[in-house]
Amino acid sequence: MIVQLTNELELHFMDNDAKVSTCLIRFPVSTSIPTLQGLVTSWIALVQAVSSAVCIRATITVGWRETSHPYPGETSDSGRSGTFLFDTAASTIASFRIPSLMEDYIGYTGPLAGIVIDTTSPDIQSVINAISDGISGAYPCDPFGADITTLSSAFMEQY
Amino acid sequence: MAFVLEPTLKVVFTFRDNDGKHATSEVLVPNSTTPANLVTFATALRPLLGNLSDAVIVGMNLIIGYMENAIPTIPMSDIENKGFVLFNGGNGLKSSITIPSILETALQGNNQDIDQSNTDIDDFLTAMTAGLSGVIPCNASGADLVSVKEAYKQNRRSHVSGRQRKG
Repeated sequence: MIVQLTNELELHFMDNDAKVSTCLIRFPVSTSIPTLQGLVTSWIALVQAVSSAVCIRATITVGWRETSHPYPGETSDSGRSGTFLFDTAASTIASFRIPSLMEDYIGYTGPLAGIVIDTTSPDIQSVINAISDGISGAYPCDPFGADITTLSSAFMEQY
Repeated sequence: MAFVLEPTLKVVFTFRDNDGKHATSEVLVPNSTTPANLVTFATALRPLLGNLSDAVIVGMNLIIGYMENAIPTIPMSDIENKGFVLFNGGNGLKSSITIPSILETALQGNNQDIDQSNTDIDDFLTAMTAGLSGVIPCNASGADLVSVKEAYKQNRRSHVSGRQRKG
């Protein structure tokens, strides 16, 4: 069962040696994201007033944790990554990784045996479509905000 | 100088394999995405990823960031000198918070204890225990922070790697 944790507002402070440390404030689960967003500048001001470092960033984190899950598969390996490269509307490349991609989705024929991902698989297609087409008004993008359009390549990496 | 929303919002899924090692999968969406759509997207994507991995998804985080778009000149400061405040929680548990580079003017004459009568310190502690705009901070288990138990300066090394103190 997945359970929501307390919401976190983390204020990042930098000193004159460019070292960064944070101040973490927690809020009840019942606090909505828009409410938290409305309080960010007020909390920054309160903590900034008592610090000689400078607040350079603030992050709101809303988190969930699985409280009871099946045991990970015997062949699971967080260092084995399914890597997907997507083209974007700004002609950049955006990457997306799935840790411990099941070996069932890897192609084992041809010169790219053991490396290529079977992108014709319906389960793989579901994720590709979610990333390239979005879900419910949320459209994935690259770090600069450029919309992800189409899959460019998909392959296995081992770290 | 202003805090502006970062260009993208982040969805992070944490996976755990049978060796107990963790790895993450991250997706970025534009900052114009509404919180409700962000939650719906993440909730819908989670089982799709779960179908493809033999590790298990143990966590899901949504991260909304704001950045200062014009950082001012930073005065003499040291984030390793922290103001440490321990709160009593409504459920009997203690909870702490640290203020990086606590102002020396916020300390008592012994340069160790935080001066809780200092106006700015009082404003901060009041906000922590009474809340702002009806929103009251809590401890990790969700209980209100009720009162201050202790408040003092503490030197604690920064865990940020790759950075050295000057001089």
